[in-house]
Amino acid sequence: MRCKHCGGEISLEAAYCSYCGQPNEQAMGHAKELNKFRRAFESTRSAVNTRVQRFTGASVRIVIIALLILAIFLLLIIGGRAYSVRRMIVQGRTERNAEKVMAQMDALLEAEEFLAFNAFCDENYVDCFDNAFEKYAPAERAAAAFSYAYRDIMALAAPADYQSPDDILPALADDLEYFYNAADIGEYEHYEGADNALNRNALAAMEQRISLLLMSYCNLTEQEAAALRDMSAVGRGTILEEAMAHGE
Amino acid sequence: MENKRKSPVNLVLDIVIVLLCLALVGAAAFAVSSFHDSLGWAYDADSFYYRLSDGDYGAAVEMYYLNQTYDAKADEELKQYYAVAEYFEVASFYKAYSDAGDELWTERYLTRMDEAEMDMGPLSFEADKINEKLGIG
Repeated sequence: MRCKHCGGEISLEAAYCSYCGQPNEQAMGHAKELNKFRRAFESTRSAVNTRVQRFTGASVRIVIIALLILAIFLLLIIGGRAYSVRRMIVQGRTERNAEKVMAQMDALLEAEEFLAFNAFCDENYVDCFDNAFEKYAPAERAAAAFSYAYRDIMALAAPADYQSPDDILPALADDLEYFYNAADIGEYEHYEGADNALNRNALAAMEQRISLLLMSYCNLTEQEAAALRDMSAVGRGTILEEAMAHGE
Repeated sequence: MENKRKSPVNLVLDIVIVLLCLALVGAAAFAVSSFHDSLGWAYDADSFYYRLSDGDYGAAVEMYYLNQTYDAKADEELKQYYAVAEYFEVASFYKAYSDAGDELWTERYLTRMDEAEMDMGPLSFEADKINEKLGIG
């Protein structure tokens, strides 16, 4: 541009003419405009920065919250499934060593160690729905029921300080119902190979033991003990109650 | 100064993060304790002591088999409590077979009662208490 006083060539930003020294009015107006735009620009930039920072801060926090919630859920699920995980590991081991496990099960059944057999099945998570162990279903279920009935009978025979026969007798009647059902070989017709001599002998031995325990500790006669098998749970409860009262 | 002040939204989110961190610690503790329980859970000697103090020998037998189920490692003291539980179990069957006059099983159980009593160590006095409770002469 040119100076309006002397016509000399001057730049748009120069405040004074370098030839005549007169003020450059256009430049002053331009500088004012420029400052105004700079201030507006700075203000806009500052507002945008603030908003971006706020948005970024919230976003990061929301991501952290989402990750924390995910981690908490994962830990709760893993913790809740700890027993399933253990079961899966042990069951895998049992399946891999099926022959060894079955040999031990046979030995315990032949020795008539039914409580130990039940604990061994629990320890190894023997799954009688699995083909390999299907034939043990009668012994496994009856042994579990046997252990419940044994616990109840011994609670009657040698009660702890806090145990009362009135509480134990109904539980025994229920557990005997469970036991006699579990000890019925006819219940296992759908289990392949379940009807075998080992199971039949084991079920008979368990029944005999329950009868002997009931005769020794619940004052039942041999006939009463034998008749319990075909009675209802209520009938069993009544007989046991009468026998225990008679014993006292 | 105005710009440096935290926005209320961020403040609330920070509080939520702190609370979730606490929940995370709780969830981690739950997971660790669940795995610990599932892998190494067992009744200890104190649990047996209290059960026997109450005369609950049946529970001791259950606890013994539960420890077997969880493959618990037993120290000398715990083994002595196991022997008491085993004695009670064997003695209970001994009496039943003895009452029925089955000499074979009576003899077998008597041998095992003697073995279990030897394993009881300082707890061998429990044998007399069990015999008395079960009515073994």
